[in-house]
Amino acid sequence: MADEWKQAASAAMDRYACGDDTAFAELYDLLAPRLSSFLFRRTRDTSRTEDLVQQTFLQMHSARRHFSTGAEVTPWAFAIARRLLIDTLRKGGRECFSEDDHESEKQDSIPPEALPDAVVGRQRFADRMDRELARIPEAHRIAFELVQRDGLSMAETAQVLGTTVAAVKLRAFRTYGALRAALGDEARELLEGMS
Amino acid sequence: MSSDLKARILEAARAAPSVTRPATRKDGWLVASASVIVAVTIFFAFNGTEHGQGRAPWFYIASCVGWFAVAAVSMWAALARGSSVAGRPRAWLLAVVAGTPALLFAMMFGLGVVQPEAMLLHSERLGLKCLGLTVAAALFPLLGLAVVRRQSDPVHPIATGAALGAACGASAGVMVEMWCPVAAPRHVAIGHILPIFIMAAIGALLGARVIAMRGTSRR
Repeated sequence: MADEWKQAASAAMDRYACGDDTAFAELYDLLAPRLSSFLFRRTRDTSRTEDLVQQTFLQMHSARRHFSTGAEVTPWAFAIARRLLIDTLRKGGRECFSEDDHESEKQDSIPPEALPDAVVGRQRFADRMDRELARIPEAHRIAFELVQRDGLSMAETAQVLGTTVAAVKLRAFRTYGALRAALGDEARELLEGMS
Repeated sequence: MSSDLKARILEAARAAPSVTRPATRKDGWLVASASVIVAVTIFFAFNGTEHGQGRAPWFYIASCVGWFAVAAVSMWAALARGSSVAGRPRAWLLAVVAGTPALLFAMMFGLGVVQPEAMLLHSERLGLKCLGLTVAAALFPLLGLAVVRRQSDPVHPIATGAALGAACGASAGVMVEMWCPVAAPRHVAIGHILPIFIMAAIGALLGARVIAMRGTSRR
């Protein structure tokens, strides 16, 4: 099941909130890669991403008493990460773009068996998609990315953004519509993934 | 990610132990109990049993029960987070802030329409004493809840604080409604409804300062 890791993470956080300190390492293993991916796409800076991941986990540690029984940890963790990211950017450190890091992320997304032409094609598509996404308002773009790239459900995304599920659906589908208009048939795979 | 990030995080967590959920289970009840004691003390300190007389018994009971019901729903809506630790949607919280005073004013106006004489009793009183009493009685529970919820909201702390403020204002208003015999619309608006907005504003401020979750960069 695709959502098994979410349930495992929530169970680990529940145990940690109750005082089982060993559950924190388990929680890290389940959430850290996803939080890193989410944060790296916005900072394009490995060092800053690590700093934000560390802050996110320490905030979860400090606030573990607030984690209620049966709650989901994934939207909470992403909401904390997003808040810390916004605070960091507001403090003056606008996105510190590192081309090397950006390129390595794109390389990671390409299957090793891909032919050179396909690699170039996918890189170009990724560039175009990033450019188109950058034109879309932040509120719409982040709803789309949380659902499409981070694997959160509409309801979880609504919790991260502090809005309703209907608003998330609207934002995500409008973003998809804009991407589809700009990228044409290449974006069709994404549409299938979102339905 | 660097290989030692996990070790660094676990070490930092070990170095600064945090409070667990079982250890804070009673905090909310403590705040609620202390808030009731504060409200009851204010009520009797200002001679509440005698001061509240002058209204028809049914009007007294209906207004107090109605006020209590709205305050209870408002408190539930502001406090309960459902299955989400991140809290209710912003629209929900703003509905608490706007809906609580609107509902209470509509209820008082409706009761006044049913019994017009109630609206004439001491209608010259502006309601500044009621305003002061409501704010005084609501401040303690709001501060207590803000402390209980400190650094808990990463999404919309200002809206959460405002909703808690409005709910605390409405809850304190139950005591003031028992104390105050005046039901004139102007008095209700200034003495009983305005303090709810004032408490919502104070709550919003506490939300930004206390309830908000903020990080400290280690870089």
